[in-house]
Amino acid sequence: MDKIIFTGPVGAGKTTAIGSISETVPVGTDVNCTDESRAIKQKTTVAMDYSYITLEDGMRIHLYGTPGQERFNFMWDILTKGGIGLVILINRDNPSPIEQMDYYLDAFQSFISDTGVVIGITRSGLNDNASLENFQQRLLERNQVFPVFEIDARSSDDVSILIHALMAVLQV
Amino acid sequence: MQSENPIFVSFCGVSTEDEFLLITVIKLLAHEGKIFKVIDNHSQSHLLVIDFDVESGKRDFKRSRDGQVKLLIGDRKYSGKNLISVLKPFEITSLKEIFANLYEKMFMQLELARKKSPRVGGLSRNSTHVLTDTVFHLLLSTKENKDHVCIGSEGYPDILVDGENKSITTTASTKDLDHIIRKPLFEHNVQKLKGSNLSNKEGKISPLYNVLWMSALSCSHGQLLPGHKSSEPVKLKAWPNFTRNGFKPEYFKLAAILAQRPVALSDLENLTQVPYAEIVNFYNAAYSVDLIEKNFDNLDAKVTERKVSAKKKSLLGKIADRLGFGLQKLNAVDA
Repeated sequence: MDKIIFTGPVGAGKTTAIGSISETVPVGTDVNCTDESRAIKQKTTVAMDYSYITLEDGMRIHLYGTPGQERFNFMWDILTKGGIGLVILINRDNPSPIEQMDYYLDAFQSFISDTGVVIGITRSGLNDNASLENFQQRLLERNQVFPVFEIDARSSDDVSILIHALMAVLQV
Repeated sequence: MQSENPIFVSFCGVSTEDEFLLITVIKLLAHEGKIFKVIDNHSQSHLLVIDFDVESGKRDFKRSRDGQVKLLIGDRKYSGKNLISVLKPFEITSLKEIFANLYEKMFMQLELARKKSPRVGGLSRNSTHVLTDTVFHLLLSTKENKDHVCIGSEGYPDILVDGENKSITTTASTKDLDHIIRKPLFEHNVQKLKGSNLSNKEGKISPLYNVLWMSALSCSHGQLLPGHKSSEPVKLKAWPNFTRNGFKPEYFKLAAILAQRPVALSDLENLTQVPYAEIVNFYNAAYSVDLIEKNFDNLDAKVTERKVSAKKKSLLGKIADRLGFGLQKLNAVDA
């Protein structure tokens, strides 16, 4: 099964991003938040989001979103099995978005080295400590030059550009 | 070097008095190493000084070539391609400054045109497009020299460029900016400003990088920046922000390779099948926004390349085709 995995913290826009490029409304496993995530959003994904796109020859590419809360990270290994690439979404308005990027890059290190990754920076950008250049600089310090773009998760154009970059990375 | 390649200038319909002033200016500039040579053959000159108040001047203007720079002197202001207008009466100091600026711009253009290169960015050697005569080149040099300039363009709001803080201030819309950028530099009125002159200007402040990127793609026409070599290995320090800046689909391929390892531009064409002119446009844009890394001492270090099967490449290509791009994004560069 060919699938692209979307990951990132709670409220980064994973479900929205999948919905913006897929053909169907994502099938979700959202429940009401009961922990600290409640301050960020009312509902959150606990198992996965799922949708798909159909290629010209009828083949389906499956789009999976991981749960944002770390206590559900046992799902990550299950979901990445057979994946062709990773999309990390980071909410720039989060108090420590650079550290969050580090966290997800480290957590998916093995999957990334076997496949490839792109990073989408979402939300308003009111956080002065996290400009796009800050993310680029951090990647440079990690000796990793991955695509990192500012995106609006609601925009199919933006999410498509992210996937195009992932496809380009996977081909070299 | 400079005296070997003077800028040829001829006078059309200019009075004896004005000619005396012009010769004086030319002599003064010769002391500064800025060499103009006065010739009689108008068709051979790079710069025509034309008195537009007299019939013979107007006649010579009509006969002039598009590529020639024209300095029109007269009682009225004129504007047009490759044209500079100076009102009468003029004085030596201001005329000297105009000639000095002209020399700087024209000398670089002519050097570039004279340069024997196996190819000039995929364009024919006869191409009249000169990168140094573009708004892109002005913006880049303003950034590199940390200057402050004002770009005035008839019918459009001024653009104030702060090379020190890497920002622009203008009320111009993106569409206006696009028009301004595409015009040759000679059609603009460019003024150098002191930093303090910028503080009271009205308009939206935006990052210079966005305009630099946009102008590089619009103005490069496949011509590599002066002083840059296609044989030198280069690498990307970071991916360009494609979601917020103009791009062409080929740029993803170029960025993916250059983010992975240093490659000479001359090798990229074979490696990617992307036309060389497009490679240069991308490189100029990435360089201008400080995304290019050079000076690789250890090119022997092997980069682990993934072996991608033909089947997988085909799949990845199909996914990219399926998702496509918004037309608006592509037109940002193609317009």
